[in-house]
Amino acid sequence: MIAESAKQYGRIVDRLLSHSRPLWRSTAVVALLACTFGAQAAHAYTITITAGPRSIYLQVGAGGYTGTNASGGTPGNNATINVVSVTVPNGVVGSGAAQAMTSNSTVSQSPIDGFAFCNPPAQVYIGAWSRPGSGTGVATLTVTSPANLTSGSDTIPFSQISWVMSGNGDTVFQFPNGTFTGGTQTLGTLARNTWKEQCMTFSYANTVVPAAGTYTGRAVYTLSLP
Amino acid sequence: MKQFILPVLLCCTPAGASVAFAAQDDVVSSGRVFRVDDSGTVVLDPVLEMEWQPPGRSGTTSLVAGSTRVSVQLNLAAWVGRTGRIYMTLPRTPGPTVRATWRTGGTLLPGTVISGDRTLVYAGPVTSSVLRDLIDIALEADGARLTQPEALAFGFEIELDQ
Repeated sequence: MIAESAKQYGRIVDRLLSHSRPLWRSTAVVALLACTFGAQAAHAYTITITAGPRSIYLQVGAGGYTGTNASGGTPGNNATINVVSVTVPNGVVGSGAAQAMTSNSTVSQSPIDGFAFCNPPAQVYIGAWSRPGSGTGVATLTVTSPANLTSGSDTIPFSQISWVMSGNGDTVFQFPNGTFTGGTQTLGTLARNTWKEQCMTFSYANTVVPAAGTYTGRAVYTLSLP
Repeated sequence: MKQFILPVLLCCTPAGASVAFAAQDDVVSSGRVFRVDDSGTVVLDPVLEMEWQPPGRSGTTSLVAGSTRVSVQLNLAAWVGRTGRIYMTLPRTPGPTVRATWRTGGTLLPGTVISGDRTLVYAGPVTSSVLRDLIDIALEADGARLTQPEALAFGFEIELDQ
């Protein structure tokens, strides 16, 4: 029965191909179709796993996750710009005694699973993930700062501010400690389908004597995937 | 050309079938292992978009996971009255190693299998021609190596007692 069906199919294929295709190509097509009959005996149920569509996510301080990733939460946008600050007492201005900075970020939980990873206000959460999809590419996390904090025409070098990376229960730090340089600095890279997170503790070096005032500046963190 | 194609068809179709049977006979003689027809099996969500797993507080994770439900239906008609063991198999793929862990409705055994391996899901007499169970299966893989969609072709094989 199969042979008869195959014969009929072969005639149809032959009529379709014999006048327009090389011999070797029509032979290959027919042989492939015929052998398929023999491979249907056992079957196998198939589950296809994918890494999802091409996307990236960066969170510094407040983030946009609804729920946690582990509970099916999804990322979203959050326009909040958190502030890290310190007030240096009169008597120690320029003394070289580093001053711990605090943040108005209240984020303590990792959006991965809700684990209490950071300790605000002393620490600021930073986390990022990258999904290149079917393409290639390594995501890069950078931070860009201006040369100075400013108060009117007065300035304090941004390099007076440093950070230390940590996290509750953390064992391997994913991003380096550092000091702002007044430019763009690379904090790290993210391999395909990788999520990295850390908690930043900022400090002010306090080695300059600026004019009295409130000095501000903005550091911008950027995650890019080529 | 016409004369060439038809002999190829007529020879290849029976040959394809006979190759399949011959392969089973070879296995029989060496270990009495047969591939089980699971063509009645249905996967609830056959395409899984994997999600990250908690990093274990190392500050990074590339472990991804997903889960689905599978209605397993095995055609055991050829072995009714025999005794043996049924294994679930997971062939290795070019992509990352995958670990599959499942719970069952009670007919099959729960377990775990890693790419390239097999795990026992049933042992005992084959009493009916069709074995059915509902399993919840969770898959884990290293996302850093998941460069493209990976089709995991699970299967079942039965190993008969002598």
